[in-house]
Amino acid sequence: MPGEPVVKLEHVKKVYDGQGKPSSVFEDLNLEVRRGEFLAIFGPTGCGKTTLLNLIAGFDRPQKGRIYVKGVEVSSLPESKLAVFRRRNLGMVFQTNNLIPHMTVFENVELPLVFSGLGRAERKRRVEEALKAFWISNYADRKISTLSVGECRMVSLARAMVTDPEIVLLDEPTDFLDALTVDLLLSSLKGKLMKGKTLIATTHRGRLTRVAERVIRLKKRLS
Amino acid sequence: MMGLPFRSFGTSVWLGLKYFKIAWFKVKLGILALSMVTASFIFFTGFRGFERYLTFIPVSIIMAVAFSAVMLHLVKWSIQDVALFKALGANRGTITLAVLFELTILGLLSSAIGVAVGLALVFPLQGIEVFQSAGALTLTAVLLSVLLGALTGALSVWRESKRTVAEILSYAG
Repeated sequence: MPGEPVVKLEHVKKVYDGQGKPSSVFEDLNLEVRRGEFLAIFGPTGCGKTTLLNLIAGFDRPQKGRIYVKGVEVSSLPESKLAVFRRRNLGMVFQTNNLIPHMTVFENVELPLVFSGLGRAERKRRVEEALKAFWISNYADRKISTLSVGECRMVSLARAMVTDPEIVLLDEPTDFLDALTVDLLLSSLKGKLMKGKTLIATTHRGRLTRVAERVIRLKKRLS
Repeated sequence: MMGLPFRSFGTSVWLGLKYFKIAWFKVKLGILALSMVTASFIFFTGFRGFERYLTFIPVSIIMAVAFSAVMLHLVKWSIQDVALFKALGANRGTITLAVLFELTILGLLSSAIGVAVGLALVFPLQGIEVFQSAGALTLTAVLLSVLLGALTGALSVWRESKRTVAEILSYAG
Protein backbone atom coordinates (compact mmCIF):
# COMPACT_ATOMS: atom_id res chain seq x y z
CA MET A 1 0.00 0.00 0.00
CA PRO A 2 1.35 3.44 -0.92
CA GLY A 3 2.45 5.52 2.06
CA GLU A 4 2.97 9.20 2.75
CA PRO A 5 3.52 11.74 -0.08
CA VAL A 6 7.01 11.52 -1.47
CA VAL A 7 6.48 14.03 -4.28
CA LYS A 8 4.33 17.11 -3.78
CA LEU A 9 3.63 19.99 -6.16
CA GLU A 10 1.87 23.07 -4.78
CA HIS A 11 0.38 25.74 -7.06
CA VAL A 12 3.05 25.26 -9.69
CA LYS A 13 3.17 27.69 -12.59
CA LYS A 14 5.43 27.06 -15.56
CA VAL A 15 5.63 29.32 -18.57
CA TYR A 16 8.08 29.04 -21.46
CA ASP A 17 9.26 32.05 -23.35
CA GLY A 18 8.69 30.89 -26.91
CA GLN A 19 10.38 33.52 -29.09
CA GLY A 20 8.94 36.44 -27.17
CA LYS A 21 5.48 34.89 -26.92
CA PRO A 22 5.02 33.29 -23.49
CA SER A 23 3.53 29.83 -23.62
CA SER A 24 1.92 28.63 -20.43
CA VAL A 25 2.27 24.92 -19.60
CA PHE A 26 0.90 24.87 -16.04
CA GLU A 27 -1.02 27.67 -14.35
CA ASP A 28 -1.78 26.18 -10.93
CA LEU A 29 -0.74 22.56 -10.79
CA ASN A 30 -1.18 20.59 -7.59
CA LEU A 31 -0.13 16.97 -7.32
CA GLU A 32 0.80 14.41 -4.69
CA VAL A 33 2.52 11.11 -5.32
CA ARG A 34 2.69 8.64 -2.46
CA ARG A 35 5.64 6.44 -1.51
CA GLY A 36 5.63 3.17 -3.47
CA GLU A 37 2.99 4.37 -5.92
CA PHE A 38 3.14 3.74 -9.68
CA LEU A 39 1.70 6.86 -11.29
CA ALA A 40 1.15 7.26 -15.01
CA ILE A 41 0.87 10.76 -16.49
CA PHE A 42 -1.18 10.44 -19.62
CA GLY A 43 -1.74 13.06 -22.30
CA PRO A 44 -1.07 14.15 -25.85
CA THR A 45 2.28 15.38 -27.13
CA GLY A 46 3.02 18.91 -25.97
CA CYS A 47 0.74 18.87 -22.91
CA GLY A 48 3.65 19.25 -20.48
CA LYS A 49 4.39 15.66 -19.42
CA THR A 50 8.15 15.98 -19.85
CA THR A 51 8.09 19.43 -18.26
CA LEU A 52 6.39 17.92 -15.22
CA LEU A 53 9.11 15.26 -14.89
CA ASN A 54 11.80 17.91 -15.42
CA LEU A 55 10.31 19.97 -12.60
CA ILE A 56 10.19 16.99 -10.23
CA ALA A 57 13.79 16.04 -11.07
CA GLY A 58 14.91 19.65 -10.60
CA PHE A 59 16.07 19.87 -14.22
CA ASP A 60 13.87 22.93 -14.58
CA ARG A 61 12.38 25.46 -12.18
CA PRO A 62 8.81 26.77 -11.95
CA GLN A 63 7.98 30.48 -12.09
CA LYS A 64 5.69 30.06 -9.10
CA GLY A 65 4.81 27.38 -6.58
CA ARG A 66 6.76 24.78 -4.65
CA ILE A 67 7.93 21.28 -5.45
CA TYR A 68 8.88 18.89 -2.65
CA VAL A 69 10.59 15.57 -3.18
CA LYS A 70 11.03 13.50 -0.02
CA GLY A 71 10.27 16.62 1.97
CA VAL A 72 13.04 18.66 0.31
CA GLU A 73 11.98 21.71 -1.68
CA VAL A 74 13.77 20.96 -4.96
CA SER A 75 12.35 24.04 -6.69
CA SER A 76 14.58 26.29 -4.61
CA LEU A 77 17.55 23.99 -3.98
CA PRO A 78 20.86 25.36 -5.33
CA GLU A 79 22.28 23.47 -8.33
CA SER A 80 25.18 22.03 -6.30
CA LYS A 81 22.83 20.49 -3.74
CA LEU A 82 20.44 19.33 -6.46
CA ALA A 83 23.19 17.18 -8.01
CA VAL A 84 23.75 15.36 -4.72
CA PHE A 85 20.01 15.07 -4.10
CA ARG A 86 19.39 13.56 -7.54
CA ARG A 87 22.29 11.16 -7.17
CA ARG A 88 20.89 9.80 -3.89
CA ASN A 89 17.17 9.77 -4.58
CA LEU A 90 16.24 9.88 -8.25
CA GLY A 91 16.62 7.65 -11.26
CA MET A 92 15.70 9.02 -14.67
CA VAL A 93 14.84 7.34 -17.96
CA PHE A 94 14.85 9.97 -20.69
CA GLN A 95 12.55 9.81 -23.70
CA THR A 96 15.57 9.76 -26.00
CA ASN A 97 17.57 7.63 -23.53
CA ASN A 98 20.48 10.13 -23.52
CA LEU A 99 23.12 7.42 -23.52
CA ILE A 100 26.66 8.17 -24.65
CA PRO A 101 26.99 6.35 -27.99
CA HIS A 102 30.75 5.80 -27.95
CA MET A 103 30.74 4.31 -24.48
CA THR A 104 29.97 0.66 -23.80
CA VAL A 105 26.79 -0.49 -22.09
CA PHE A 106 28.79 -1.19 -18.91
CA GLU A 107 30.37 2.29 -18.89
CA ASN A 108 27.02 4.03 -19.46
CA VAL A 109 25.38 2.20 -16.58
CA GLU A 110 28.46 2.80 -14.42
CA LEU A 111 28.36 6.62 -14.83
CA PRO A 112 26.00 7.51 -11.94
CA LEU A 113 28.06 5.30 -9.62
CA VAL A 114 31.25 7.08 -10.66
CA PHE A 115 29.64 10.38 -9.67
CA SER A 116 28.70 8.80 -6.33
CA GLY A 117 32.39 8.16 -5.72
CA LEU A 118 32.03 4.38 -5.27
CA GLY A 119 35.08 2.15 -5.59
CA ARG A 120 35.74 0.14 -8.72
CA ALA A 121 34.86 -3.28 -7.25
CA GLU A 122 31.54 -2.05 -5.83
CA ARG A 123 30.71 -0.32 -9.11
CA LYS A 124 31.37 -3.52 -11.03
CA ARG A 125 29.17 -5.55 -8.70
CA ARG A 126 26.27 -3.12 -8.91
CA VAL A 127 26.48 -2.66 -12.68
CA GLU A 128 26.52 -6.41 -13.26
CA GLU A 129 23.48 -6.75 -11.01
CA ALA A 130 21.58 -4.04 -12.92
CA LEU A 131 22.50 -5.47 -16.31
CA LYS A 132 21.27 -8.89 -15.21
CA ALA A 133 18.00 -7.46 -13.90
CA PHE A 134 17.21 -5.99 -17.31
CA TRP A 135 18.43 -8.96 -19.37
CA ILE A 136 21.34 -7.12 -20.95
CA SER A 137 24.34 -8.83 -19.32
CA ASN A 138 25.40 -10.18 -22.72
CA TYR A 139 25.71 -6.65 -24.10
CA ALA A 140 28.01 -5.29 -21.39
CA ASP A 141 30.96 -4.71 -23.71
CA ARG A 142 28.97 -3.49 -26.70
CA LYS A 143 28.94 0.15 -27.71
CA ILE A 144 25.57 1.89 -27.45
CA SER A 145 25.73 2.79 -31.15
CA THR A 146 25.43 -0.93 -32.01
CA LEU A 147 22.24 -1.54 -30.00
CA SER A 148 18.59 -1.51 -31.06
CA VAL A 149 16.12 1.04 -29.66
CA GLY A 150 14.66 -1.55 -27.29
CA GLU A 151 18.08 -2.58 -26.01
CA CYS A 152 18.98 1.08 -25.47
CA ARG A 153 15.83 1.53 -23.39
CA MET A 154 16.85 -1.40 -21.19
CA VAL A 155 20.31 0.15 -20.74
CA SER A 156 18.64 3.41 -19.83
CA LEU A 157 16.51 1.60 -17.25
CA ALA A 158 19.53 -0.18 -15.82
CA ARG A 159 21.37 3.15 -15.52
CA ALA A 160 18.38 4.68 -13.71
CA MET A 161 18.20 1.75 -11.28
CA VAL A 162 21.88 1.14 -10.62
CA THR A 163 22.03 3.60 -7.71
CA ASP A 164 18.93 1.97 -6.17
CA PRO A 165 16.95 5.24 -6.09
CA GLU A 166 13.71 5.55 -4.19
CA ILE A 167 11.98 7.49 -6.98
CA VAL A 168 12.19 6.58 -10.67
CA LEU A 169 11.02 9.00 -13.37
CA LEU A 170 10.31 7.53 -16.79
CA ASP A 171 9.68 9.77 -19.77
CA GLU A 172 7.65 7.93 -22.41
CA PRO A 173 9.36 4.61 -21.64
CA THR A 174 7.31 2.64 -24.17
CA ASP A 175 7.94 5.03 -27.07
CA PHE A 176 9.54 3.60 -30.23
CA LEU A 177 9.39 0.05 -28.83
CA ASP A 178 7.85 -3.02 -30.47
CA ALA A 179 5.06 -4.89 -28.67
CA LEU A 180 7.37 -7.60 -27.31
CA THR A 181 9.83 -5.11 -25.81
CA VAL A 182 6.94 -3.11 -24.32
CA ASP A 183 5.74 -6.31 -22.59
CA LEU A 184 9.25 -6.97 -21.30
CA LEU A 185 9.57 -3.40 -20.05
CA LEU A 186 6.17 -3.33 -18.38
CA SER A 187 6.84 -6.63 -16.63
CA SER A 188 10.16 -5.26 -15.38
CA LEU A 189 8.35 -2.19 -14.02
CA LYS A 190 6.04 -4.46 -12.06
CA GLY A 191 8.87 -6.79 -11.11
CA LYS A 192 10.75 -7.50 -7.91
CA LEU A 193 13.43 -4.89 -8.58
CA MET A 194 10.87 -2.06 -8.54
CA LYS A 195 9.18 -3.21 -5.34
CA GLY A 196 8.76 -0.32 -2.91
CA LYS A 197 9.91 2.24 -5.45
CA THR A 198 7.86 5.24 -6.46
CA LEU A 199 7.45 5.24 -10.23
CA ILE A 200 6.26 8.24 -12.22
CA ALA A 201 5.93 7.54 -15.92
CA THR A 202 4.63 9.69 -18.75
CA THR A 203 2.89 8.22 -21.75
CA HIS A 204 0.62 9.11 -24.63
CA ARG A 205 -0.34 5.48 -25.15
CA GLY A 206 -2.80 3.34 -23.24
CA ARG A 207 -0.72 0.27 -22.44
CA LEU A 208 1.33 1.76 -19.67
CA THR A 209 -1.75 3.21 -18.01
CA ARG A 210 -3.14 -0.32 -17.62
CA VAL A 211 -0.28 -1.43 -15.37
CA ALA A 212 -0.05 1.83 -13.36
CA GLU A 213 -1.88 2.12 -10.03
CA ARG A 214 -3.09 5.64 -10.73
CA VAL A 215 -3.40 7.66 -13.92
CA ILE A 216 -3.62 11.42 -14.23
CA ARG A 217 -4.55 13.05 -17.51
CA LEU A 218 -3.00 16.26 -18.72
CA LYS A 219 -4.75 18.33 -21.35
CA LYS A 220 -2.99 20.48 -23.87
CA ARG A 221 -3.50 24.17 -23.17
CA LEU A 222 -4.81 26.10 -26.13
CA SER A 223 -3.19 29.45 -25.23
CA MET B 1 35.31 13.84 4.90
CA MET B 2 39.03 14.27 4.32
CA GLY B 3 38.87 11.84 1.43
CA LEU B 4 36.12 13.72 -0.35
CA PRO B 5 38.21 16.18 -2.43
CA PHE B 6 40.53 13.34 -3.49
CA ARG B 7 37.58 11.14 -4.41
CA SER B 8 36.08 14.00 -6.41
CA PHE B 9 39.45 14.59 -8.08
CA GLY B 10 39.65 10.88 -8.92
CA THR B 11 36.16 11.03 -10.47
CA SER B 12 37.20 14.02 -12.59
CA VAL B 13 40.36 12.27 -13.79
CA TRP B 14 38.35 9.14 -14.63
CA LEU B 15 35.78 11.18 -16.51
CA GLY B 16 38.39 13.32 -18.27
CA LEU B 17 40.34 10.29 -19.48
CA LYS B 18 37.22 8.39 -20.46
CA TYR B 19 35.84 11.36 -22.30
CA PHE B 20 39.16 11.94 -24.05
CA LYS B 21 38.86 8.38 -25.32
CA ILE B 22 35.22 8.45 -26.34
CA ALA B 23 35.15 11.88 -27.99
CA TRP B 24 37.91 10.78 -30.34
CA PHE B 25 36.56 12.69 -33.37
CA LYS B 26 36.75 15.88 -31.34
CA VAL B 27 40.19 15.00 -30.01
CA LYS B 28 41.51 14.38 -33.54
CA LEU B 29 40.29 17.77 -34.74
CA GLY B 30 41.65 19.43 -31.61
CA ILE B 31 45.08 17.84 -32.05
CA LEU B 32 45.18 18.88 -35.69
CA ALA B 33 44.20 22.49 -34.99
CA LEU B 34 46.39 22.98 -31.92
CA SER B 35 49.46 21.28 -33.39
CA MET B 36 49.18 23.53 -36.46
CA VAL B 37 49.04 26.58 -34.19
CA THR B 38 52.13 25.39 -32.28
CA ALA B 39 54.01 24.50 -35.47
CA SER B 40 53.33 27.99 -36.87
CA PHE B 41 54.53 29.50 -33.61
CA ILE B 42 57.81 27.57 -33.73
CA PHE B 43 58.20 28.48 -37.39
CA PHE B 44 57.76 32.22 -36.81
CA THR B 45 59.81 32.46 -33.65
CA GLY B 46 62.41 29.77 -34.25
CA PHE B 47 64.79 32.00 -36.18
CA ARG B 48 67.91 33.51 -34.76
CA GLY B 49 68.58 37.20 -34.66
CA PHE B 50 66.81 40.42 -33.76
CA GLU B 51 63.59 39.76 -35.71
CA ARG B 52 62.94 36.80 -33.43
CA TYR B 53 62.51 39.16 -30.47
CA LEU B 54 60.18 41.37 -32.49
CA THR B 55 57.93 38.51 -33.44
CA PHE B 56 58.07 36.48 -30.25
CA ILE B 57 55.61 38.46 -28.11
CA PRO B 58 52.87 39.12 -30.72
CA VAL B 59 53.08 35.56 -32.02
CA SER B 60 52.91 34.21 -28.44
CA ILE B 61 49.75 36.25 -27.82
CA ILE B 62 48.21 35.06 -31.09
CA MET B 63 49.06 31.47 -30.13
CA ALA B 64 47.48 31.80 -26.68
CA VAL B 65 44.32 33.33 -28.17
CA ALA B 66 44.17 30.62 -30.86
CA PHE B 67 44.51 27.87 -28.22
CA SER B 68 41.71 29.41 -26.18
CA ALA B 69 39.47 29.77 -29.24
CA VAL B 70 40.01 26.16 -30.37
CA MET B 71 39.42 24.76 -26.88
CA LEU B 72 36.33 26.90 -26.38
CA HIS B 73 34.96 25.54 -29.63
CA LEU B 74 35.71 21.94 -28.61
CA VAL B 75 33.93 22.46 -25.31
CA LYS B 76 30.79 23.76 -27.06
CA TRP B 77 30.41 20.34 -28.71
CA SER B 78 30.27 18.67 -25.30
CA ILE B 79 27.73 20.95 -23.69
CA GLN B 80 24.87 18.44 -24.04
CA ASP B 81 26.97 15.89 -22.19
CA VAL B 82 27.48 18.44 -19.41
CA ALA B 83 23.69 18.49 -19.00
CA LEU B 84 23.58 14.68 -18.94
CA PHE B 85 26.35 14.45 -16.34
CA LYS B 86 24.48 16.96 -14.20
CA ALA B 87 21.26 14.99 -14.61
CA LEU B 88 23.08 11.86 -13.45
CA GLY B 89 24.29 13.59 -10.32
CA ALA B 90 27.70 15.04 -11.18
CA ASN B 91 28.44 18.35 -9.50
CA ARG B 92 29.89 21.40 -11.26
CA GLY B 93 33.34 20.95 -9.77
CA THR B 94 33.68 17.37 -11.00
CA ILE B 95 32.56 18.24 -14.52
CA THR B 96 34.77 21.35 -14.75
CA LEU B 97 37.82 19.53 -13.41
CA ALA B 98 37.24 16.70 -15.89
CA VAL B 99 37.13 19.19 -18.76
CA LEU B 100 40.27 20.94 -17.47
CA PHE B 101 42.05 17.61 -17.29
CA GLU B 102 40.86 16.54 -20.74
CA LEU B 103 41.85 19.83 -22.38
CA THR B 104 45.27 19.90 -20.67
CA ILE B 105 46.09 16.43 -22.00
CA LEU B 106 44.82 17.44 -25.42
CA GLY B 107 46.87 20.66 -25.34
CA LEU B 108 50.09 18.95 -24.21
CA LEU B 109 49.76 16.21 -26.80
CA SER B 110 48.97 18.65 -29.60
CA SER B 111 51.72 21.09 -28.70
CA ALA B 112 54.27 18.25 -28.53
CA ILE B 113 53.31 17.26 -32.08
CA GLY B 114 53.29 20.93 -33.11
CA VAL B 115 56.76 21.57 -31.68
CA ALA B 116 58.13 18.53 -33.56
CA VAL B 117 56.52 19.66 -36.83
CA GLY B 118 57.66 23.26 -36.32
CA LEU B 119 61.24 22.24 -35.59
CA ALA B 120 61.24 19.99 -38.65
CA LEU B 121 60.14 22.96 -40.79
CA VAL B 122 62.73 25.39 -39.42
CA PHE B 123 65.59 22.92 -39.15
CA PRO B 124 66.49 22.95 -42.89
CA LEU B 125 66.73 26.75 -42.77
CA GLN B 126 68.43 27.22 -39.41
CA GLY B 127 70.30 24.00 -38.78
CA ILE B 128 71.22 22.99 -35.24
CA GLU B 129 70.88 26.60 -34.02
CA VAL B 130 67.12 26.23 -34.02
CA PHE B 131 67.27 24.10 -30.88
CA GLN B 132 68.95 26.99 -29.07
CA SER B 133 66.49 29.63 -30.27
CA ALA B 134 63.44 27.46 -29.55
CA GLY B 135 64.49 27.03 -25.97
CA ALA B 136 63.05 27.82 -22.56
CA LEU B 137 61.19 30.91 -23.72
CA THR B 138 59.35 28.94 -26.37
CA LEU B 139 58.54 26.15 -23.95
CA THR B 140 57.09 28.70 -21.54
CA ALA B 141 54.92 30.25 -24.28
CA VAL B 142 53.65 26.83 -25.34
CA LEU B 143 52.84 25.72 -21.79
CA LEU B 144 51.15 29.03 -20.98
CA SER B 145 49.02 28.71 -24.12
CA VAL B 146 48.00 25.17 -23.15
CA LEU B 147 47.12 26.31 -19.65
CA LEU B 148 45.26 29.41 -20.82
CA GLY B 149 43.32 27.42 -23.43
CA ALA B 150 42.38 24.67 -20.95
CA LEU B 151 41.36 27.23 -18.33
CA THR B 152 39.24 29.15 -20.86
CA GLY B 153 37.43 25.93 -21.86
CA ALA B 154 36.97 24.83 -18.26
CA LEU B 155 35.71 28.27 -17.18
CA SER B 156 33.15 28.21 -19.97
CA VAL B 157 31.92 24.82 -18.70
CA TRP B 158 31.89 26.11 -15.11
CA ARG B 159 29.74 29.07 -16.20
CA GLU B 160 27.49 26.93 -18.37
CA SER B 161 26.95 24.27 -15.72
CA LYS B 162 25.45 26.90 -13.41
CA ARG B 163 22.30 26.75 -15.53
CA THR B 164 19.60 24.15 -15.01
CA VAL B 165 19.72 20.93 -17.04
CA ALA B 166 16.75 22.10 -19.14
CA GLU B 167 18.40 25.45 -19.86
CA ILE B 168 21.67 23.84 -20.97
CA LEU B 169 19.80 21.47 -23.28
CA SER B 170 17.73 24.25 -24.84
CA TYR B 171 20.88 26.38 -25.25
CA ALA B 172 22.71 23.45 -26.87
CA GLY B 173 19.74 22.95 -29.19
